[in-house]
Amino acid sequence: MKKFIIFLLTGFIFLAYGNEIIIKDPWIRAVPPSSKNTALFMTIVNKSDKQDTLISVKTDIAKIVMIHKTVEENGIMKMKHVDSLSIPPHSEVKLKPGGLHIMIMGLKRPIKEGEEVKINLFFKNSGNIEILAPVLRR
Amino acid sequence: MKKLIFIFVLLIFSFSYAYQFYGIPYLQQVNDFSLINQDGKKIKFSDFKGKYLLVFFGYTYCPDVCPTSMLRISDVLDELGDYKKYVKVLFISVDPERDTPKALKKFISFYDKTGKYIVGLTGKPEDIKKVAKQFRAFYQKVPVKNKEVGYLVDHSAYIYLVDPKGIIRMIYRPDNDDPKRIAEDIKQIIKMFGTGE
Ligand SMILES: [Cu+2]
Repeated sequence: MKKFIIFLLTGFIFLAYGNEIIIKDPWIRAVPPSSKNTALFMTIVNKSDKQDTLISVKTDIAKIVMIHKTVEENGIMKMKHVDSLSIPPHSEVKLKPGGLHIMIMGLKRPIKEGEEVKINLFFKNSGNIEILAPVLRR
Repeated sequence: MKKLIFIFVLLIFSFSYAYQFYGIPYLQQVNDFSLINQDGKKIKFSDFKGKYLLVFFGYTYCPDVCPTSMLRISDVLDELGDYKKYVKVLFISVDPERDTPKALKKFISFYDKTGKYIVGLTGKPEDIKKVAKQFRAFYQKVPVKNKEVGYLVDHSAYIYLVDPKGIIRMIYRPDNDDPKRIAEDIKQIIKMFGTGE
């Protein structure tokens, strides 16, 4: 019986870790103190066999956080709102300047180069993943 | 005048056999205009005659494109080395309502700690419109649902290289993102046309 419980437990652990999402190299762009908006970049790696989806992002430092994509149309840079971001199984999605990014709007306070900002990423399968993203000038 | 332009274009082409420019060659005289700088002073475009200029249109609330471009420009300045002294950068606001001289000053000092190379320009919306038209720069307000953020501005994100006579010589698209190569272009152009001094 004990063995069976342990077996069950490991099963649960495997279930919990089955949807393995890894956040690589997250960073927030350092912006001038007068700026009210910035963006978060990172690589989202999905190591599982199932597709996962980033549904929303939250942080205490700003009023609004959205998934955005910068696109160029006839030389004009536009930011398009993306409802959710699918991460196919065994693949990664890169969020980088001039492309996909997590838009952080309405900063409640200026952010400082070098500080680490707590961010919560909510995935459809993996749930809440909390990360610390350094503020970098690049 | 037409003859001159022809000779000029020929000159650029013959030079480009020897050196492959990274940017898109361009040729357009910019008519004089006046705007307000980061110190709240009225300043004319012709005040910059004698300098090579890198002109960029943007706004201080801009979250992705402008910081990317400004960091690229500040890297270009670093790459210029001895040639840096012949160059100035004009950051022209396409959001004059929010970009007060004070906001501009904070913004540009972030990318140029010395305060010697980057100039921020703002002004009346109608004046900015005229200036942008000369550079064929576009911008458009995009409302955001949240009232406190208000709006973003979609805009073209070219970097214009203007010579000491006020003629646009070269344009860089957002994907021309190698500061070393932009700096090399500027050095080549300075070698071709002189320092402007
Ligand atoms: Cu955005």
